[in-house]
Amino acid sequence: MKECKKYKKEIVAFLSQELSEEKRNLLLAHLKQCPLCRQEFKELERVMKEAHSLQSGIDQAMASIDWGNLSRKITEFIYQKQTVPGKKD
Amino acid sequence: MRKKTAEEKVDIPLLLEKVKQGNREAFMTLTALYQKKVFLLAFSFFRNKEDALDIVQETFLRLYQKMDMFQTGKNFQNWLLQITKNICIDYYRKNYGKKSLYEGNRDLEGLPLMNNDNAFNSSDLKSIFSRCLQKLTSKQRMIFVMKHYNQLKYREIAQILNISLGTVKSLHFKAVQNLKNLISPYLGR
Repeated sequence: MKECKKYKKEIVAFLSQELSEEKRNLLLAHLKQCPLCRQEFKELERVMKEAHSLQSGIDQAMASIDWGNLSRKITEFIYQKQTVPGKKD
Repeated sequence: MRKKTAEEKVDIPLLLEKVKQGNREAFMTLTALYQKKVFLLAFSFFRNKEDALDIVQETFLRLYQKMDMFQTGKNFQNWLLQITKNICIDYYRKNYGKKSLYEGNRDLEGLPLMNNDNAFNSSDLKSIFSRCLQKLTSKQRMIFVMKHYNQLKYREIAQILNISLGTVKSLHFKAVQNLKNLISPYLGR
């Protein structure tokens, strides 16, 4: 059980592409023999999948912005306010 | 092999040098390269396009003012996102918070949750997930967003938020566990 607690953390790291190859192999070997951790893996995998559903809302907000115009407007605004980089008014 | 991102193809130190010399075009290029990343971080915090756009402008103004403070050899993107994070906190205090409570404190944990999600009353999974995300502490939420939407590595998040790698790992783990517990009733087993 103590071992499973450690692997719980490693499942999150694995699903976030933050686990080294060595630890990944140990985790996969543990998952093969532990049904509880396999269940945990499935549930966390689903949470991560749902996280991607929010991406479309973010994409929608980003698609509504004219980025070329924004960088131009920001630059104009700043250069009207400031004259020398690194110096405040 | 992973494709290089737009900013990886550009010589950033050279661009920064040109900006320091007063080259306006170079500054616009720099803004164009990083504005989406800054927006994404601000949007994750405020869940509101208008506020996020204000943060983008304020971040690049602050960048311009602090250009001399950037140390060559450091990671420019992480430095810029650190500025963004600080501006989000200052902006929140100024526009939404009770100033006295947060004066001089740039700790994300002290800030209440923003809730500007227009789809708040909707019951589809996307808005349920959005509501669950809003229930995390500010720091957990920001780390989750940086990891999964900004696609930053743990060590990059640690640098931006100025906390240890172990703290990032631990907060990310707590964020995922809390999300799992919050969203489970809606997913079924």
